[in-house]
Amino acid sequence: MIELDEGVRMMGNVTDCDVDRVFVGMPVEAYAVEAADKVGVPYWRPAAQR
Amino acid sequence: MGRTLGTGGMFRGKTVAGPSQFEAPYGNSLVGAYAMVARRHMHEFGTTSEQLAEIAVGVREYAGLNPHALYRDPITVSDVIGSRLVADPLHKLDCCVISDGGGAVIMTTAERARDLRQPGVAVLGAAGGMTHWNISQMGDYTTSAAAVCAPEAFARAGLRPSDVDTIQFYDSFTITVLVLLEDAGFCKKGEGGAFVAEGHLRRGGRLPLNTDGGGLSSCHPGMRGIFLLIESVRDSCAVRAASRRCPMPRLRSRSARAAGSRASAPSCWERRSASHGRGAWRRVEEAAARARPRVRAVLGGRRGRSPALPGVSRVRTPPVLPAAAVHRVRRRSRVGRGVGTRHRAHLHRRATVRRAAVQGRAALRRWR
Repeated sequence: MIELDEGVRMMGNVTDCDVDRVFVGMPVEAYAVEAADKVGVPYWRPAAQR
Repeated sequence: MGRTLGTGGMFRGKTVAGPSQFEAPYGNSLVGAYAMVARRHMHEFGTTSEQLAEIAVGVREYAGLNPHALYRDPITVSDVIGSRLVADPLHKLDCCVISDGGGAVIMTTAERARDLRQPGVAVLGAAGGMTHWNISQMGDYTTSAAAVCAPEAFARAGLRPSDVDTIQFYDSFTITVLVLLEDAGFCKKGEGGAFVAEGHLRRGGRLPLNTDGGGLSSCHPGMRGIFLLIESVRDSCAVRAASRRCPMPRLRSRSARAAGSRASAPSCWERRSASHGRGAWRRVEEAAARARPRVRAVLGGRRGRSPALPGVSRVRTPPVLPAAAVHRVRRRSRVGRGVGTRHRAHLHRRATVRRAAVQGRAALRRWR
């Protein structure tokens, strides 16, 4: 679950991060992944990694 | 870049609509959803995997007493922690078994129950609640709908959690039990881990949990609620059978508790283990596994006080629920008999029913 600064929560996958290093409260940022033809879904990666 | 699209089977191949469409693309599974609850509970309250494992270990102890349980060999906390991770932090032994199964209960009025062959078990209070369908819509991950409906059920029954001798909880995963214990008021929110670590749910503890072995060890055919009811009824009947030898109300009255008799009054478990100790219940169960036709007769009470089972002759009302089986036995016994035999059977049945009715009325009086 990703809780946005705006207050809503949404489901998402955290990528670009070793699974053992994911923790509750970790800052993440969104990026888009094309799940199917012309269907994009937001994914998440650690915020520091720009 | 490690990207996955779907690891669970929940939504695979299905058209998703409503809130699910925001969840399905990420492949969360059912066990994954419970794992999120467990992780949140750990984060907020410091609950540990060892504490969760305690629940699985305790339930397995009871499964060892149930000849029908799928898994009966004892396990330890380290067995649970050492089993492979299914969805972090839930291990394989934190998860319920997958099995076939089915059950039935017969509900009727107290009035009608008086005339039935088996003594009734009264439902003192009931309530239901619903909070969410999708895990992404769960408001507070550490609180379930039981926080609303359990107090309601207790209020209707006029009881408190401290009045309860034994509990049957849905145990899809160990974390399910932990959250339900807190929500139903057996301990405070966040203290579930410490509560189970004290061993209350274990065999010999003061609050036996899922005494048939639960979903964690006995069976889980997808919908488990019926088994909770069946085990509760069997437990009540076993206690009643035992209490005929050491009479005692099933639920202590508040005044008795206030007078300090709580400490000296044997717990339900002690009373039940008294019957275990004499081996009556065990023998009935073991014989049920061994010699089904004979036991069906015992279940049906067809032979009155009879069982050809050594040692159970004093259990005059067998601790069973399935009135459907009773019915079947009774029907079958009439097939292919002569008139004289049929008449004798009728007289015998009438006597048996009358005797059961007397017992049923006495049982219901004890409840009131």
